[in-house]
Amino acid sequence: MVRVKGCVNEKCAAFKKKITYKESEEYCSKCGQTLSYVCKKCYTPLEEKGKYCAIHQAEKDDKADHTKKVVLGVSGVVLSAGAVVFTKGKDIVKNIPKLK
Amino acid sequence: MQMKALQNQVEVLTDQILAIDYNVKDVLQGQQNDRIGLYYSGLALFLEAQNVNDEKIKKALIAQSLRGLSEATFQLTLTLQADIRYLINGEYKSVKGKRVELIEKRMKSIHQSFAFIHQSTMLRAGIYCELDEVAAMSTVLGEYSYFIEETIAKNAGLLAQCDTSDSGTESGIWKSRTNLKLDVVDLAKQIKSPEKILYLGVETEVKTW
Repeated sequence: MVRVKGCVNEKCAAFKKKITYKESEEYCSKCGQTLSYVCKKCYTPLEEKGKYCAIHQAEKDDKADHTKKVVLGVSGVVLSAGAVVFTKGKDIVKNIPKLK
Repeated sequence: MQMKALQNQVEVLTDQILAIDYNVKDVLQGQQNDRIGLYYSGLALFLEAQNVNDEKIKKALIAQSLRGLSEATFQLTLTLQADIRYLINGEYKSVKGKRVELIEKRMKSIHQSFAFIHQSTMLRAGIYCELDEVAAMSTVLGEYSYFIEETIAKNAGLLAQCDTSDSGTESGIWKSRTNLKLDVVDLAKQIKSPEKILYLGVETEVKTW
């Protein structure tokens, strides 16, 4: 999991521009302050492990749930359509010799 | 036919669940209104007491006002603590697709509770100050300071993360609220000491123009 760091010094240009740093970096290149882990989306300082703040993590999970729901719905429709085609197809194949 | 019957049953169940949901929301809103109502009752009683000539009635009204304000403060404190615990335990995570909505709802409640706790504490402190009960006033401020330290300061990071309007920095909403911690220990000591000396400090104003 790639986490990002940011400068939390409100007067620093890096903070104003929301510049993100790699996890391996320790100090801000603009003001020299120790970097903190920040949310990838909103730059809010993070205290616990994770890439996002609580609200953006929740937003991401909600989106994933929504996608899952859509995929399940679509696959359900496809499966039922497939089943109909399969059964009807069987009947058609059976009736081909009769048609001849 | 069986499918149709099943569908009808599911629809009836959904309607019943929705009705229960609305009722639960009403009960929760009612409870919160009761707590906020205590604050307004305390405020109204204090204002009325200012216009009463009879000293006995005035004292009784002020006592009732203080009681109402105190009850409002502590009931709202417990509500706020329960809301914070909900966020800490991540109870919203189990509800699929509605996590953000649930966090925002809790944050709204936390903001509301905090505002009334602050107002009612300041009003109580103000009433004691007006009654010349400085020791009682310092107790109220001490309680408030403890609340800020234990409930707000310890969870400021999480609250900032859950609040879309907060930057999470030192000047953000929640971290600046932790600065409301008041150092009333010295004040209480000074009041309790037999000799009361008050030092007045004068700050030189720096002209910036």
